[in-house]
Amino acid sequence: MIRPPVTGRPLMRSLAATAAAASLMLGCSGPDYDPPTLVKSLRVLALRADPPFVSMSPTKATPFVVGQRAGSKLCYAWALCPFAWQEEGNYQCLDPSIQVDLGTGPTATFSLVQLFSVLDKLPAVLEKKGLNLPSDVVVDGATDGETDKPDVQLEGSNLEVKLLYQVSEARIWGGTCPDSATTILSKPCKTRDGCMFGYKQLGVVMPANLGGKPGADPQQAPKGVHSNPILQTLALNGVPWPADVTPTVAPYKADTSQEFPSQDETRGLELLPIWPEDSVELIAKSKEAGVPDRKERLIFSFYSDAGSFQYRRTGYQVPHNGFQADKPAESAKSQLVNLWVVLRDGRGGVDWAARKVMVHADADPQLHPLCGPDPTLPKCDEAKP
Amino acid sequence: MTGASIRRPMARISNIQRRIPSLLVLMGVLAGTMTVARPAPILAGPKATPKAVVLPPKLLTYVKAVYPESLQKRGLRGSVVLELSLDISGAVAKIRVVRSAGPDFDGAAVAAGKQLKFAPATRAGKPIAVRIHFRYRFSPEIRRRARARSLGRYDRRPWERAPSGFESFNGRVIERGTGRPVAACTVLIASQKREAMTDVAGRFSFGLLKAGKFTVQVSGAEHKSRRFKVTIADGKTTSRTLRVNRNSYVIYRATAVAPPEPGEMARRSISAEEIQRIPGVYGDAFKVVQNLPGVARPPAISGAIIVRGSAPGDTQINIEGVRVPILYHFGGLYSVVNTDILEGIDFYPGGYAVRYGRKTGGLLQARLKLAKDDAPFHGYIESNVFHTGFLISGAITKDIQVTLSARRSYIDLVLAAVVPDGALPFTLAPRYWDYQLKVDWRINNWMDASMLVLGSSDSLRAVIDRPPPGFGNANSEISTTSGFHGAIALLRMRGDDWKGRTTLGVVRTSANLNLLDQFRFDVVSWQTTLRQDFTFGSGPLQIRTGLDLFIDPFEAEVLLPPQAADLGEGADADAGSRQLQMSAVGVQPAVWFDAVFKLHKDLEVVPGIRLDLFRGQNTGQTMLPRINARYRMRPDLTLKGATGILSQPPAVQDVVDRFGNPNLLPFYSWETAIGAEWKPHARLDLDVQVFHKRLWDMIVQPRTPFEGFGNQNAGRGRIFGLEVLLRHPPVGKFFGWIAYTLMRGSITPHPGMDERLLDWDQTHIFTGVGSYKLPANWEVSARFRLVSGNPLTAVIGAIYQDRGDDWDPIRSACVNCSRLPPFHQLDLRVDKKFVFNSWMLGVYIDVQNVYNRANPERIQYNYDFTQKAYQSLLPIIPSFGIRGEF
Repeated sequence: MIRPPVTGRPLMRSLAATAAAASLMLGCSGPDYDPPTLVKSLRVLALRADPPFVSMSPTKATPFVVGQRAGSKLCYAWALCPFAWQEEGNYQCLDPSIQVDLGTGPTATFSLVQLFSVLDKLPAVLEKKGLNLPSDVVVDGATDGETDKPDVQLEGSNLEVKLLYQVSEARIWGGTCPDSATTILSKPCKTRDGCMFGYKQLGVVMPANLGGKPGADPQQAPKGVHSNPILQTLALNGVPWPADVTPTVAPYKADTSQEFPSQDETRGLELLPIWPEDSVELIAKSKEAGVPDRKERLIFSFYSDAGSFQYRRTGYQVPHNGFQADKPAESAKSQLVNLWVVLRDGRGGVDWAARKVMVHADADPQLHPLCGPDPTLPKCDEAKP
Repeated sequence: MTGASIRRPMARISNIQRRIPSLLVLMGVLAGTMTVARPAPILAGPKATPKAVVLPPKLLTYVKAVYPESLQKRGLRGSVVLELSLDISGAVAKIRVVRSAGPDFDGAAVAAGKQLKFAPATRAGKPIAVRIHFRYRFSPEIRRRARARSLGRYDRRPWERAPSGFESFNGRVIERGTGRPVAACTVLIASQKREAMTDVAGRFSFGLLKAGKFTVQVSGAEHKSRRFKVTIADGKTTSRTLRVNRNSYVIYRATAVAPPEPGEMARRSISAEEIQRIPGVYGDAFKVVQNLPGVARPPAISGAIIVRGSAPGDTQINIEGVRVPILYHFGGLYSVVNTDILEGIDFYPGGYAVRYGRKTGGLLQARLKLAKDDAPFHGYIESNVFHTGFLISGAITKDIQVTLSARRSYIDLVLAAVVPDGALPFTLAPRYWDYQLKVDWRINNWMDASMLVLGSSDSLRAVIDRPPPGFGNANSEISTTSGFHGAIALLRMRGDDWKGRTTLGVVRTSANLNLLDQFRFDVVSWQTTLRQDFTFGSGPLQIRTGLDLFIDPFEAEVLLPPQAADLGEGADADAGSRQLQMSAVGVQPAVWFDAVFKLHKDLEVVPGIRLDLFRGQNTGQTMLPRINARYRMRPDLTLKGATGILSQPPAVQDVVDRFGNPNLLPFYSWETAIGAEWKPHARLDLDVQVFHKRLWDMIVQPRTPFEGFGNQNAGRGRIFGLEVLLRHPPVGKFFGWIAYTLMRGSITPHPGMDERLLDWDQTHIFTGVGSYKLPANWEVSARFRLVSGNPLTAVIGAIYQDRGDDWDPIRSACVNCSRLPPFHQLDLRVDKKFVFNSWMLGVYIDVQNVYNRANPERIQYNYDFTQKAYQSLLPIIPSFGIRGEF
């Protein structure tokens, strides 16, 4: 999907997010729905594209799938689309002829070359639909067969396409996955149980001979060139948490002494993602004195398949969250809980981490969870629950 | 309108002013006639040279106008001004109604006026022909007097009025609570077989009574009989003030509702007294319109006025022709103008005259209360669950009346008092206040002026002590402030056969919003309205024309959220571009012209045309013809019809560059309506209308996301329906109405797209309102509403978008094909007045949503749209208020 530079939508979306945060803080509430942090069935928590843009070089997309039924086979479908939006009760490509089918494998690989293959059909499709070309799309008027340059060019540097995907359990399809991505994508998930339909916006980086600007300086490089952020590890209650350690934790007991926590106070087990400084990349240098450079803003999502989180939203700018484990059922005494954290840079870059905790009714809440299994862990003696 | 045509009437006024002293003498003579239909000549206009000594005509034979029998049961008041052409013998040669109070009153006044006899006016001693204005006032007092007289047992004697110096007992009868004089009531001293009647000031006197103790009984038609013990000393005059109770203090001061002005399809007027009795509207002059036919039910806690399917912003709301920039405190709680400075409101769902334009929906006009000559200082202090306020009004000179009113909410003070420090993570301070100062100045008999200075402020400030990281720093604010200050000046002029009206309004409006320093918005505008209306002629042809200028400059400064730049398409924007500044000036002059043809005494046709120019933010001009006709088929049945084109410029935010489309043009509506007004009973009025509206060049969102952000003139729509209003005016113990609307509105947003229902389409809208007076100054009122639910588009799925970690709903291709469940609600109100000697205490309780119906206002979904629930906003809401009047 190629999108022109439109100021309205992100403005409205961010306004809505700000207003939602404001109303949240003022105590407005709605029905008691399950929060997005709770994974009860198949979910694609993130889709990593490497690199997180489309260029002449191949980009590989990998989904972060969790929550599928044990032993279930997954069906995948991928497509790249220059223009896609909601129409006729589905979210789909403007026309099937401009949809690039990327197959049904567990990952998808694509580049601008595949996109160019459909751009020549674009004027006819738009004319058929009675639509005008967006300002960022220029009809060249001549075909240059030697360089695969299409008649229709993408100019500028603020273009995006959409990568459509669907991940579903095979049972949705009667146990056998369809062979065609188009077939799968034409039937969006009717239920969220075992099926997930989504898209990812990816910036388009044109080669220098098609309008892109070369250079190593972020200001000179083609805009849209950037890297995925790196989620190095998680800290649990301030202590780095190795991926292979499954600590035992006590169920959360609410602290009723203070109704509202302070800004930095965490309720429950504190999960803190750790990332290198260069994960926050420069977007644009300031042209005015006193105005800071524009950088990426990281957003964080925390998930679990049981229990809850202090901040029940995902895609939140809060860089930490408190996990509040439920008390295991009487018959079980203990329960294994999966925790996932996703880090996004707001421009399509993404990274994630997964951990497990064992919730035990008799665990000592005073003991740091990581110090129990391994007292030699760094800072264990300093850490306090 | 040429300059010459303006100067001529002005020169005539100047002539007339020279003769004021003589006219005042005449007025004094005539006004002193204590009759129910009290005549008062208010204008004389013979052509005279300045040096000539002109003496006005003298009234020789006064003939009372008979109160029309057909209006007896309704007990209406009215005032008819006649223009009498007197010949050199002083006889009435010609008579014309200058100010109408409806056909019944007009007929009675003309019949009486023809029988008046005058001594001719003279100039330098020679009789001359003159024209004078002569006013008949009608009041149901004629019946009260008849009844009062029947109460007297000694009416074979003339009413007693002792000569000055021979009074044994005198005094005044005044009404308890209000201090108003009680006229035409009997003061009876049975033991001495003497009785008197009070005059218009409540005065009475007895002469030559024997000394001793007596029982005095005071009786009036509208007041309870009361006995007083009086001791009268020999040779001395005893004076007493006798206070009597009114039968009921929850009164309806019935006023004759003037018929619609020529060129008006239907004027639905609601008096301030009615407004204050209707439950659920908190006595609000603008919200009350939501109960009339043609008006859709707005969302809860909203004062939006949605007329005949049009968007809320398509209806113009004026105070005496000047646009009101902000209607309500906090978007719908209370209107920013105190209802008590208003006489009432006139609502036109459509088919109004060409003097109004720039909107395609309805018209709501608030009328300022005209000061009364003899009104003493009066006022009140009130308090309800939201605010406290006061009003004081009275005459500071014979010709100048002043009214001052102010209100302030105290929600912030209450919260500060009852919520302990630190108990909440924020400090909440919602506050509003408003004020109005009105000055009415009767400059002379041909000219009067009113000036209204008004202002309003709303502020909501929540200081977040501990905001979540990423959403501002400690002590960040969520705040919004909006308000305006302005002045409206109104000059009314009347000539022999013309009248004019000049209105100037200047209002400065400011608004700002701050969301945790993430988003800020500041806007200031200066709205100026200048209107000049003239009406010339009378009889079979009347010409009306005018100028209507609206200037709307504004400046805005916006601080965008960082996310808007960092996420999504803003990624190529320069750093620091969070700050945006905008300014624009809209200049919208218009001229209009219409002619009232009275083709027959019962048939009136009014063709008109209006030219609107739009300059500034966008350009365009529209030439809009309209025609309106009324035919009085029978005294109780009038047929009516109107058709015409209206236009409306795009809203400022739609045309501002970057956010909107500067190339947008006005959109249009062609409205046609036919209807009938029938009076099936003396106390019932039935108004039925069928209407159809066709809209084109409607401003709609682009068909696809990549066509840009600005809206387009691409939509076409139609709205049609039926409106029924059965109304019992405020007469006797009851007022109320039943309003029903059957309506369908649809739009085709872009050519080739399917037609869909408008967002505000409500098929059935039923409203019943009633108020009944009970003994002992109790009054109960109720309102019931039953309305179809708003259309909505079903969400049939959702798609996850990875970059923002969010879900987009996938909506059904059939837009607005579902509906929310029907809305129904009962509201009740009980008023009680306690009467003291010199003041009254009124208390009320108003309960909204009595049976606690959970009316769905919208559907609320969970994060991925797999779960949904209806969301209702208002549970049962009791509120109460208290008011002390003096």
